[in-house]
Amino acid sequence: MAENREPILQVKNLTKIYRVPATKIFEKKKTFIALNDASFDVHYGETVGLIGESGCGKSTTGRIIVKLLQASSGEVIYEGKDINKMSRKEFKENRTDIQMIFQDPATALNPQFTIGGLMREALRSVGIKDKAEQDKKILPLIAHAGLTEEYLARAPHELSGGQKQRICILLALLLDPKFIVADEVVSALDLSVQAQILNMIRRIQKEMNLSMIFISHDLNIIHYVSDRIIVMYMGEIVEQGTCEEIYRKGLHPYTHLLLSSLITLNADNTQGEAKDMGEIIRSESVCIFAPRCPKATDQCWHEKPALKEVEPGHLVKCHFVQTMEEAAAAARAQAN
Amino acid sequence: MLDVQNLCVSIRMDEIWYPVLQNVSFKIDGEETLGLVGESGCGKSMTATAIMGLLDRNIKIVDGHIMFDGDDIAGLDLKAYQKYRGTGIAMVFQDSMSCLNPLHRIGAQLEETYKIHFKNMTKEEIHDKIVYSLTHVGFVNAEETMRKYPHQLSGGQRQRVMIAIAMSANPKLLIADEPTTALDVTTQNKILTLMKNLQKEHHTSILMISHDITVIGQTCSHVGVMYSGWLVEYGLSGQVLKDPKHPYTKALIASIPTQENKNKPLHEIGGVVPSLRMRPKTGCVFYERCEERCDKCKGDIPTVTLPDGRNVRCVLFADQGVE
Repeated sequence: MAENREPILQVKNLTKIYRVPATKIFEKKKTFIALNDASFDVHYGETVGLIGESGCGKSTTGRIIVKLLQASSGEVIYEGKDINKMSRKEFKENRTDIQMIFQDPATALNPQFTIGGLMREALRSVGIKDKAEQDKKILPLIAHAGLTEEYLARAPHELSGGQKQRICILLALLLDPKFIVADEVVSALDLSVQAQILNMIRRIQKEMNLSMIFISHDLNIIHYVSDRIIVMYMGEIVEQGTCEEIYRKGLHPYTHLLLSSLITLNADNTQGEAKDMGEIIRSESVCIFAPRCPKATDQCWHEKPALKEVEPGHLVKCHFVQTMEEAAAAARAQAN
Repeated sequence: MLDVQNLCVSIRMDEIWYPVLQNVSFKIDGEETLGLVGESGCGKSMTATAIMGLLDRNIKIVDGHIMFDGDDIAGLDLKAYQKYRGTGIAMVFQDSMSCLNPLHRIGAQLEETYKIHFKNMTKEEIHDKIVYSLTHVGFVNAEETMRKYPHQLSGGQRQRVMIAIAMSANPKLLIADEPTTALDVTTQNKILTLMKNLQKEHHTSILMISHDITVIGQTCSHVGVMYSGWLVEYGLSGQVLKDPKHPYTKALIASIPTQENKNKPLHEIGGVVPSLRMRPKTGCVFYERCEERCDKCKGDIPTVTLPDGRNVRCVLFADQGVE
């Protein structure tokens, strides 16, 4: 990993607001904030894991980066250019650089095309029209995925779930991307196939030096693939840091709650003391997690915490961060 | 209490009968929780539907017995089954949205089960019962929840309602088919804890079905690992998951991404699960993908009981069995 270079992708103050259609006549128009003021960087060759419960905005973030969605405000700077401000035409020139792998391979592949047809279609869209030239790109990749040439003539329904997901990954890799957004790529797969796909992604990433955003709700998988992890809650980034920092030294109460739900084969887990997901209070002066937080105090209900840097690169959005550190220091002093 | 003996189930496709389950045997007693785990299409849900007597017309039990409290309930007709459903065996399904009727309020759906199972209860008694059972599964404001429709509840809440309905007639055996698959991790934990608590209180046995081996390891006292219609390994969960014997169980556990094996490639099981039509007719079903296969695998594969009490269906252990 190149440490001193500029990040490949910088996300700055990204916000996405959906309009919710009114359910009653004369009702005031409602909005839903899917993503609120999210900022993070992705460096060259790095995998950043996005984790959170459903509805926390992880997929929205991924989709904005590949420009399937338009952000309401904020910047997505890819190699110095703001994707969010580009017109579709301008973006098309960069389209090959940023690719997405989707969750459900069954719906991501057009059932009317053969696998070969799908791949040629992707190449045609960027102007590679010569069949021999197309083959030059397709054939080595197919072999790479452990599939044979005869699969090119098959239709998507003739493949198993794992094979379909491999084809989806190949489609994303076909145009030599530098950046990949992988949205829940293994959630729909069985354990044995999941291992095959995860291995394949890791191998390809190393060989092609890809940068990646990996979105998943599975704590084990995120830990396995990511260099850095971003924890999201209700559209806000509550904590980000390296794998080690989040899993061993996580500071935000939500991170604790999430990790207490982590089930492993060999350890007994302890149940987190969080309240049920209640009403979401979105206000500039209330902490987003306060309604569910076991530690919430008056301060949390009257002042929104800022993202604080605890260690270089380890950011936490919580009022208690400082006091927690002090508590740890006090505990150490007591032990001595 | 539940004793499944040599259960064989076949499905008819294009006028040919294909075996779906082959010689599946297990027992559940007292406050035990048995977890059935396996990949999609391995027959775990089929086992549950067979026990509930909910098999489609093109699927039938070919051989074997399902002994429930001493009665053989395999192949009973719908009417006879009614004696056992609800009070004897109840089921929680995976998708709570499609299992609750969207047109009826939560209260009405719970009321229905009470009306069927407790014929002489008065309206007030039923109402009290419903409030009690909803409070029991963790609803703070039960009266308000009763008036809501399924779509007004979150996924976790709906799953709680499903559990309340299943537990309403105090069944001896609760079958939970992927009860937490559609839920978030934090909610999943709550539902699993709730099921554990209810089990302790009502002394229910649970048959839990999941594709997630970590969930099974967390909640179950016994584990059965299924592959292609075979129960390949079955025993105490501590033994099976910590020290797997069957090559499939070994490979399955090695392919879980954990914090320890980060940065190392995961163990892969080569190939794919054979489809129903492609399953080998003789010999071991795992033969094609097995790393420890030998010539003996093509013959009959007996299920042997190892000295520690677990059952393994693999020729590698054929000579280690005890009776």
